[in-house]
This record gives sequence, structure tokens and C-alpha cells, in this order.
Amino acid sequence: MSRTVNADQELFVDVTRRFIAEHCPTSTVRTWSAEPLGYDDQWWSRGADLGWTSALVPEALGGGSVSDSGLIDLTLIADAFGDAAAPGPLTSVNVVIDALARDGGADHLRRWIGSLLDGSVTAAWCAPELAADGRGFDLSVRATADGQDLLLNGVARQVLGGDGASLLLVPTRVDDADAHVLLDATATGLTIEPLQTLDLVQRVARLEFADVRVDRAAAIGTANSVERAFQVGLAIQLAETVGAMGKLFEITHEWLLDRYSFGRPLGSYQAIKHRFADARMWLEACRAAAAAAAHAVQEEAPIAAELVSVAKAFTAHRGPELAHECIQFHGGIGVTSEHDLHLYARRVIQNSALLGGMGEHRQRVAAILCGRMQ
Amino acid sequence: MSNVAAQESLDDFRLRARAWLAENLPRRSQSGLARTARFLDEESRLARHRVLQRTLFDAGFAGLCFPIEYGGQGLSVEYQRVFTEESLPYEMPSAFNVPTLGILAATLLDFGSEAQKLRHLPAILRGDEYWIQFLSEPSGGSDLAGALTTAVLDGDEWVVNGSKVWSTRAHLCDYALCLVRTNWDVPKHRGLSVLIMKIHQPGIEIHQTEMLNGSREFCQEYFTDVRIPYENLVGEVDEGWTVATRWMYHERSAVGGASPYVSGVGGDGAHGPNAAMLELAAHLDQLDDPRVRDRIAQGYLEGVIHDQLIDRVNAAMRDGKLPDSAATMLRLYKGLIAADYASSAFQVAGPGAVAWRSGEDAVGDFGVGFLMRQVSQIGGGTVEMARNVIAERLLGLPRELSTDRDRPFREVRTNR
Repeated sequence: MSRTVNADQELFVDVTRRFIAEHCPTSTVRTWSAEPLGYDDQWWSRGADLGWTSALVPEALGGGSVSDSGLIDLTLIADAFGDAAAPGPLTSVNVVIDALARDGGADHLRRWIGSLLDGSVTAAWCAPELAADGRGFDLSVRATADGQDLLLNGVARQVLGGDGASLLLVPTRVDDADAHVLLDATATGLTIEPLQTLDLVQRVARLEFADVRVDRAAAIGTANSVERAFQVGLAIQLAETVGAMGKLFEITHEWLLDRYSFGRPLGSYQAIKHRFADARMWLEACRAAAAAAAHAVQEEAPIAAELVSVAKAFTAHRGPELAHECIQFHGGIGVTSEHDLHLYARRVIQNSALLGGMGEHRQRVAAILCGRMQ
Repeated sequence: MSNVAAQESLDDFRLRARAWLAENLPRRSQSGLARTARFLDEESRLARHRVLQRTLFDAGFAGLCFPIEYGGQGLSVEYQRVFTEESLPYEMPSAFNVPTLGILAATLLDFGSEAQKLRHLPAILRGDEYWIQFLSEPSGGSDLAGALTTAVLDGDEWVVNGSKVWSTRAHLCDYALCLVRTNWDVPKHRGLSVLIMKIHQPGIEIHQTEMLNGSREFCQEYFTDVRIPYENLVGEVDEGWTVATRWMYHERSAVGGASPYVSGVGGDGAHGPNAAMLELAAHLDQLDDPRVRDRIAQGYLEGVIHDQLIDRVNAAMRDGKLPDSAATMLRLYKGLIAADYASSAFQVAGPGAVAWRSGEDAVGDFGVGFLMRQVSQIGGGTVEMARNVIAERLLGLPRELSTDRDRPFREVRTNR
């Protein structure tokens, strides 16, 4: 499979880039920060028309993508989101859609897939937390059997797009194996609490489950489904992060060429040139890592579990550092709300900590490495 | 690409290489710990690698990306990558990789005359010639265009006087590319030339410099009326900077790990990139310490991403999406992560890295490695030069001020 972006893919992402530029300039991002969902009531459904929800769904189920690599196509969209600090549950919705399309069965598909694809409803993925020692997940929502039903108890601490979603995908353990439970967000016993976030429009909620009852048929997937969802979520998030990093770099690059200090361009000072050269290099390395991870997930390669964590540990380290360097080069204006720089810095920093941070993913890489040695 | 092998699919090539390697090359020792930073007898190692290189050559596995007419195989870089992957369990003639193949043979390929290429490239690929760079001078390591070593034409011979430094294992090598000044009356970049210099000949005295780790592989050469045939000129007279620019591009590519002309890797390989720290932690029974695991993972993953970065930057340069100067990012990355790695490993090694019992060198080597940490940011062009290249050529930021560009080099103040 080719790793270069083909003409169809370029056209595909270009449509989204132009749509975002027209409908979600940074002034709109600022306005939408006051909206409960972080966007207006047209944004998501219009985006769905452009392919934001269909890339991981086979054509037979009403989806489809411009290439035979749906996840790669989706990462191009995610990069464009990062580049604009755009809002919307891109990661969450697509993780749920992927799980639904693979494991959902006829009844679940009939009920949900159409409205998710056309963007009339959204879904949220209760992303699992990594175990402290890096071996597997520390699933914080427990499922217990109660006759034909399952009872869910526990807390999902950080759920992207959790508030406003109609459908939830809850990783838990059913019959001693990691599995997913599909849950209507109106279920009794579920409390959805919107959280304060660093990012102005990327919404996160805390979900509490108190004896939430679901039919056993709501449990879907195989032992590997939770890991697969985690990889898809990370691939999308990583692409969005490097998109935002690229924008931070681009804005700062222009600034260093245009801004004069002591009668010469800021970018003529070696103290700044050298640090900016480092930033350029770390940016390219993050892009390389994110792309390699996405391709491994796309191909469902055994090494995908390792490469998503390699990329996340690295990007969660270098991404915020790059953001801070760009802020530093701007001086005081870089820490004000007036300049747009912070919109992207917020996205990079928020993403760095969600779905596992640098430390957690390093532990996971170490666990994989040690496991291989034994 | 006209030979039979070129029509061979990558998969077929892989299988053929795998079978041949298993049959013909010795396996490398398994433990990375036993061989870190220890200095084998360099002379024996280089002699051994000549034999291994000849073995590769005779079987048609040497110089995969070199043209067939110069003894290579005329294959694309994908074949070289496959061969390197397959070669990891085996002892390869890695002493030929840098600088001989990756830098000097590559530069000869770009600028050598037909006669020079026919004379030397097959000999290199056969394992008969080790090459070395006579580039830096005692008067300044990074300011290469400020070379003071001078060549004067006397009949049909060049007569060379001066000194070069930081040439690794020069005393064990056969030929050098030497950057010399042939004109003092023009600005610095316009009075340089490049000569092929036979190393073992009258007038060349080689001094080995002891490094902090005890190695004596770095050399300084003193030239006194060294005579070189006129036809050993590479490129045009006084146009040596054109050659040197490409030469340094090959250097940065090779040091960054991106050269298509090198084959196989030296160092560790048993558990993938940078396995030494993992083995160290196992040796010290610290594998369960989360702080140690954090360092192991960081060192390992930065190595994994190095390979991903090489692939990405090479592809982008090939497709014209990034200029050649982008290869400098690979050199910078390697320099920074190698230093990170040495620091992390030193922390994992603990006090045993600074005081150890005689004969128990495995942990002490990490102390020596830490002491030598900056090598990764100096050798092959300093990271400061790399940063200048990235900032000025890749990002278009203003050039550093220089006071020596527009006047005859004779008038420029130097460290003579």
C-alpha cells in the first residue's frame, strides 16, 4: 500500500479544509466556545456530508471512503481539524462507528448506523484508561450479570464528546474478557457531567454509571475490540495533534520572518534559529510517528499496539514542548487570548493528556518490550 | 536497471538474501551488553571486514544501489533496505559503511571522472579500499571552506602541504578525498579543490589522537610536499566547494542514517534499536522499576521513530516535497536522541558506571559512553551546523553574518 497521499485523498481533504476555512475560522472557534457542544447545530451534520463519519464503514452499510484506506483518509481530516483547532467529536464518533460496523450485529446497526453516518446524532466512546504497569487497560466501568441483563457501575472519567451523544460505547469486562457495551445515553442510572477543559471547543464529560441496566445483547465485540478501539482513537487523535503542531509552527515561522527586533528579523538571531530548527525537526518526527502508527492500525498489523503508543508517548512529550517554544518566540502576545496561537496550543496540550499521556504510554511500550524479551 | 536481479521481486530478493546470509555470513553475538563501547582491535576488525565485504561482492550483494558498471547491482533503495533487514542477525562489514561507502564513494559517484569511478568504485565494493575524509583542519572544525591546506601545481603533479584532523582510522585506510586550497586570491569558497589522495605515501605523517574512551581511532595528518598526480583532481580546479557541498550532504545523510549506499548496521540488533539499556536493566535486576521502564521506553521509542523519520524524509525528498537540506533533520535528530540515550542509560547504570571492578566492564561502559556523549553531536558535522542548515536552507531564515565571503581569502584572519 502506498504511503503517499494520492490525488483522490488530496481532493477529499481539500473539500474539508475549504469547508472549515469558510465555516469555522478562528473567530468562529472563539464564538463556539460559548456553545454547549462547542459547535452549532449545523456543523456536524454538514461535516458528515463531507465524509467525516463514513470512512470506517463499508459501502454495504452506507459508508465508504475515497481510498481503500479509510483510517488514513480519516487521519487527513483529523489533521485538518488540528490545523484549524476545529470542534466536533471526530475521534469519539469514528471509534464508535468502527466498533459498530465491525461487531454491531443487525439490530444495533439498523438502529444507529444511519443516523450516525448522516450526522443527525453523535456517539461517544468511554475511552479506557491504561493500567499503571502498561499491561492492558484499567477498565473503570464494571459489568455484572443480572439475569439476562448486565449492570454497569463505575466512572468513565474523561469522555470526548460525552455530553450531547445519543449512543455510548463502554469498554468493560464481560465474562472475564474485555468487551464493549453499547448504551443509549438516556439510560437510567447514567449521570453525564460536562467538564471544564483547556481546549475552548473540544468537549469532555465525566460519566458515572450507577446500576445502569442493559440487555446482554448490548455487549459486542471480541477480546481484541477494546484494543482496536484504542488504536483507532489514538491514530485519529495523533493526526489532529500533529495538524495543530504544524499550524503553531507555521504561524511562528511567519512571525520570525516578519517581526523585527533591534532592527533585524527575529528569525535572524541564532539563539532563535537553532531552537526553531529543533522545533522543525521534532515536528517532522511527530508527523513520521503519527503516520507510521496510522498505517499500522490501517493494516491491522500486530505492531500497531506498539506504534500507537510509541507515537503517543513521543508526541505527548514533543507536542507541548513545541507549543511552548512557539509561545516563547512570540513573547507576551503568545500568552494572551488576543492572538490565535493559544487555540492550537490548547488542542495540542489537551490531546497530550487524553487517551493516555507520555508516562502511561511509555509504560505500555516498556511492557511490550519486556514481554518480547521474555 | 538492466540486470537479471533487477527483475527479481522484492520478496524473491528477500528470500534469496536470507538464504545466502544464513549460509555465508557469521551470526553476531547475542548480548549487546558484552560489546558496548569496548574497543576491539581496530586493525583486526577492519581486516576482517575486508574479507566480509569481498564475500558480499563475490555473491552480488555488495553496492546494491551502485550502478552495475562500477561494480554495483543497480537496484533501488528498497532492495538495500530489505537486505539490511535480513542482515541484522549477521556480522556485516559495517566498517565500510561510513565514511567509505556512504560518504566518499557516494561523492565519487556524483563528481568523479569516468576513469576515477572505474578505478576506485569496484575496488571499494570488493573490499580492497577503505576511504577516509581529509576535510576538517586544526584551524577550525566546522568552517570547512576555511581550509588552509594548500595544493600547488608543479608540472603534472599537485604538491600538498598542510594538515587535516578528525579522520577516523586514517592509518588503516587506503585513500582519502582531500579538500585543499588552490587559490588564495579569491574569496574562500571559490579557491578550493578536491583531490584523491593515496594515504600511504611519502610526505604524509599520521598521528593518532587518544579519545576520552581510550580509543585511538581519530587521526591527524601532516602533509609535507605530498605529490599527487594531476588527474586525481575531482571536479574542476577551484570548484571544490561544489563538490564539498554534495560531499557534506552525503555526510549528513550517512550520519543521519539515510544513505542508500550503506549496507547493514553495526552495534546492537538483538532486540531492535537501542536494546542496550533494556539488557543493562535486566543485568541489574531493575526491570520492575517504573522509572527505569520509563527510560527504557523513551530510549527505545526514539530509536523506532528515527527509522520512521528516515523513511518519511527520504520519501518526501524523492517526491520533491522537501529539498535535500531536509536530510539535515535526520542528522540533528540522531545527535539529540543519542545524547538522550547515553544520559538515560547512565542513570539506569547507577554508580557502577563510574567505579567498577576490574574485568566487570559491562556497567562501566555506560559511564564511558556518558563521558563521550557529545560525540554524537560533534562527529559528522556538529548539531550547531545542522541547525544552521535547517534554519537557513530549509526554513529560509536569514543567514549568519560573515565577514569573509567577499574578499580574497589571503586577507581573511585565520587560526594559522
